[in-house]
Amino acid sequence: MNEIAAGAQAEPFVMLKTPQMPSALAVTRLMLARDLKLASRKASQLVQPLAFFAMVTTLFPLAVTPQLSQLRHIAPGVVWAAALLSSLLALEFLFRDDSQDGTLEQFALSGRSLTGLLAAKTAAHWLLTGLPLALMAPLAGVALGVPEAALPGLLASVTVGTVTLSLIGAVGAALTLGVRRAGALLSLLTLPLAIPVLIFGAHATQLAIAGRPYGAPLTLLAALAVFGITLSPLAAAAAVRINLE
Amino acid sequence: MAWTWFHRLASPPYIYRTAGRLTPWFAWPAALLIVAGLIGGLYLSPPDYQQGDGYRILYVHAPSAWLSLMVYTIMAVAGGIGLIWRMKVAHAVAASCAPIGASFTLATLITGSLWGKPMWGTYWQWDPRLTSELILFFLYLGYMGLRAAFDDVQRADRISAVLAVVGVINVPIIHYSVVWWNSLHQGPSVMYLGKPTMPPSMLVPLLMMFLGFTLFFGAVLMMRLRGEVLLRERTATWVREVVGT
Amino acid sequence: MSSYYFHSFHGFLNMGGYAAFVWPAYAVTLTVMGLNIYWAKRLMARSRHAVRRRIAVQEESRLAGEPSV
Repeated sequence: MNEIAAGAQAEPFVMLKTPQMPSALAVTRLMLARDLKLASRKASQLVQPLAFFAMVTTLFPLAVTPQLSQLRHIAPGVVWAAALLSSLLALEFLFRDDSQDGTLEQFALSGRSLTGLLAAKTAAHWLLTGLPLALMAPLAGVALGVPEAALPGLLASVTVGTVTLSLIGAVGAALTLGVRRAGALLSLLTLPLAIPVLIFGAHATQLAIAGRPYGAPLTLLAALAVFGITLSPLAAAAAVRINLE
Repeated sequence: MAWTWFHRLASPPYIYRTAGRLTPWFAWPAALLIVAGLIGGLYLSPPDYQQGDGYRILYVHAPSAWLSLMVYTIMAVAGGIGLIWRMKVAHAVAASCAPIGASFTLATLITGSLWGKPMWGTYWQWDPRLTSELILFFLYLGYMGLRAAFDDVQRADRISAVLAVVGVINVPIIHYSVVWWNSLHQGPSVMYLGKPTMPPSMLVPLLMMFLGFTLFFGAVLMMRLRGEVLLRERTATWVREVVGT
Repeated sequence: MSSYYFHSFHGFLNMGGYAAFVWPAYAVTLTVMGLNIYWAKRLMARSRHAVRRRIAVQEESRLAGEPSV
């Protein structure tokens, strides 16, 4: 952590030379590696959103019908709604530990671009939560009667969609940084912004199930992700700075 | 010369006095226009050839919808100004806007539902306009909930301003995706009137209502703004003369 | 400027059969307007009260000999 926060001050005897400031790319890689390593020590918090996803998916056949032929019709909606809700759950640990032990403050004070640092954190978070969710989506699809030919389309759309969900979630988490019991508020803030992802993602899945080309909504999903990558870390950094004042 | 105007705008006592003086200039024209619009819309204008007299809900539904969007935009712009130029008064404007906009969003939803029942047969339809309006209502609730989560007024102002800016950028995206979603599933035709263009006897009262509602918002904003400014500035000395003993 | 469209006051109230929808819609809108005015007035009253309380507290501390804030 110190390497990121204070340049080369971790090794005081090097201060006689010009301190080596890591490049932005190196910082990003350091942040990614750090977050991935820290998260790997708390594997349970990674598994819980996935378990939630599986549980929610299971609820629908129980509540509606065991017939796969009928479940197929609601599969896009169920998978996407469950993915949305699971990604909300997973947001909890994006900033929690760093804000509690003061590391987030160090990042803000470090002189490096907080936007870049938060972008790296969000990327790490997606690798830890969004990507596993996307890999689980085809399993949920099979459980809901989605034909095998449609699974690649399902996988592709959820993969792209979860990127945007992580980005939107990062803004929400940054806004509610100091708020206690922020769960319901975080959902209220995040879900309306996530609706376009839901619409295009579910539609891409529907087209895939029907065997039709799903390129158009998938491209729109990708456009949303690109838009999110440009706007979200900026907004999140602004919110973090305000909350740390 | 321009800067003195800008600085005066930022001065709370000036705003307090000016808002008080401006209120009647908004309130009386608003009352006149709304009364004239009511008479014109309810009584003088002809019934629609398809919807009969049921269409007259338009005269309150459309201006309410207009307000709900306009107020959110003003709230976001005011918040942005407050963030960028650190103007307390701009944040007070944003805070004043929220309940006004939210209440008119709710009015839009209720009047839309009441219009829908005789026209479509159900109290709710997932048509693009109503759905977008519902999402807008959630955006307002999220904004107000986020504000309420902070005890420190300054932090509440700045954090909610970030949310409002993010929200206002997303509103067109959300609306577009909802329209797109609706077109896929051949939703019911929205409350368009039978004629492609409205005769003046219908258009004039409608425009009066639009203008009247807008001026009404101006009047209420002036009233709320005074209250907000007074509350926020209660520790300042200028406040004592205003309130007396 | 007379209306050719409603043949009587009862006809006006009936709104061509849509009375159950038109009048509640207008009532809701006017209620929302009224509520907005009421909330604005209530905010003003609350703010004035907060200011008066603040002045009273300051007066008390001044009379008690504490340095004025």
